[in-house]
Amino acid sequence: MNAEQQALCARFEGFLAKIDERLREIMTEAEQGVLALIAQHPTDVMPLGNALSGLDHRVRELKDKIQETWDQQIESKFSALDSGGRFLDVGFDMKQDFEQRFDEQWATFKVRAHSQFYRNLFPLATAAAQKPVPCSQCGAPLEAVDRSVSASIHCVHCGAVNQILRDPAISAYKLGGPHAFADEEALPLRFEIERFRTQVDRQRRATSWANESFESLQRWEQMERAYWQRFVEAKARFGGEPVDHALVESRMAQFRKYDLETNQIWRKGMGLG
Amino acid sequence: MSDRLYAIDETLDAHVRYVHESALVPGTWVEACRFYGLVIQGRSAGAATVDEVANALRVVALRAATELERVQLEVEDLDEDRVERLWDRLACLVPKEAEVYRARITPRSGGLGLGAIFENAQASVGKHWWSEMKFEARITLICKTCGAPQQKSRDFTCAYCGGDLFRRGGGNGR
Repeated sequence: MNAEQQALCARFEGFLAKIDERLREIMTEAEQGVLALIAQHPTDVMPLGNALSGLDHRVRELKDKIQETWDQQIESKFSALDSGGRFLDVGFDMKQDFEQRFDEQWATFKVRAHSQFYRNLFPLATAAAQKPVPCSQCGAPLEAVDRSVSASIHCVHCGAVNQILRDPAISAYKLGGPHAFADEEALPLRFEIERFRTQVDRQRRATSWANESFESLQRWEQMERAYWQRFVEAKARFGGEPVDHALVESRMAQFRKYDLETNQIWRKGMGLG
Repeated sequence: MSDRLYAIDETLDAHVRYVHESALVPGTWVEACRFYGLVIQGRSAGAATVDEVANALRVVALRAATELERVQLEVEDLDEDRVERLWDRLACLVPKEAEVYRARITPRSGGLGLGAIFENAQASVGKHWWSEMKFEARITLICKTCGAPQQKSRDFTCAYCGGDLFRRGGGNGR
C-alpha cells in the first residue's frame, strides 16, 4: 500500500470510528432508559419492545450513513487508487468488517435488554409462584396450582371449583424468559456463522470466484445445526422442559432447502443429481 | 444537647435512603409502604410512582417534625441555627427528594434525544380499555338458588339442589 492509499484508509477508518462512537453513545444512553423502563414496567414487556423498535430505527439510520457515504464519497476514491482491483477490495472489506461489528454490537444490546427484563421479572414471578392460593369458599390452600395459566382447580377440602386466573408475572416470565435467555446464549454462534460466511466470500473472491467446496458447505451446515442445538438446549434448561429437537430439524430443513439444495456442489456431494 | 438534633438528622437520612432504595424494587416498596402506613392502590406491580414516594416522604418528614418539636420542648440549650436548618430541611424534603426520584426513574433525554423514544414507548401503557379492569384472581361459580359452590368443572347444574349456576335470561332457557 502506498502513502496515498494508506492516507485514504486512515480517513475512512476515522469516519468509521466516528460512527462507532455514535453507536456507543446511543447504547450508553439507551441502557439508562431501558433500565428505567424495566423498573417502571417490570411485568409488561410491551414498553421495552416499543422502545427497542424506536431505537432500532435510530440505529438503522446511523448504519445507513455508512452506505451513503461509501456510495457518494468513498468508493470513487478507492477506485481511483485501485491497481488491479485489490485496493477497492481493501475498502470493501473495511466497510464490511465494520458493518458486521456494528450489527453484532446492536444485536447484543437488544438481546441483553430482553434478557435483563426477564432477569428482573424472575424474583417477582418466583414470589408470585410461592404465594399460596386459598380456596374462595373455605380458604384452605389449593394444591398444585400452576399460576402461569388460567385453570379450574378443585378444592380437596370443600369440593368447590375455583377458576384461578393466570398470574401476569409468572405467565410473562414463562412465555418469554427461556426464549430470551436462549437467544442470548446462542447469539455468539450466530455471529460465528456470519463471520465464517464473510471469510468464505473473501476466499472465493481471491480465487476468481471459484465454487465453495463441499467440505466448507458441510461446515456451514454443522455450524447452523450447532446454533439451533445450543438455542433449544438453553431454552429447555431455562424453561425446565424437554429439548425441542423438532425445532432444530425444522430450522435445518429450511436451511437445507433454501441455502444448500440450491448449490450444485452440495447437490453433487450429497448425490442429489 | 445537640446529639438529639444529630440523631434526627441521621434518622432522616436513613429513611430517605430507604425510601429511594425500596422505591425501585416492587416487593420491597410494598413493604416500605406498609411500614409508613400507606396503601398502594390501583396497581399490582412496578416501581413506585413519584406520588407514592412523595407520600412516604411526607410521613417521614411528619415523624421527624414531631420528634423535633418534642426535642425543642424538652431541651433548652439547643443550637438555634441547627434547629432552623433542620426545619428548613424538613420544609423542602418532600419536593426535593421527590424530584430526585423523578429524575432517577425518568429515562434520560440527553444529547441524543432518545428520551422521546422512551416516552413514546410508554405512551400506550395503561390506555387499553382493559388496563383499568379490576377482577378477582379466583372465581367460584355459586348456585343462584341455594348458594352452593360449583363442584365439577364444566358442570353448571348445582350438585345440591339441581339449580342453574348461571342465571338464564328468557323463558326458553337461552
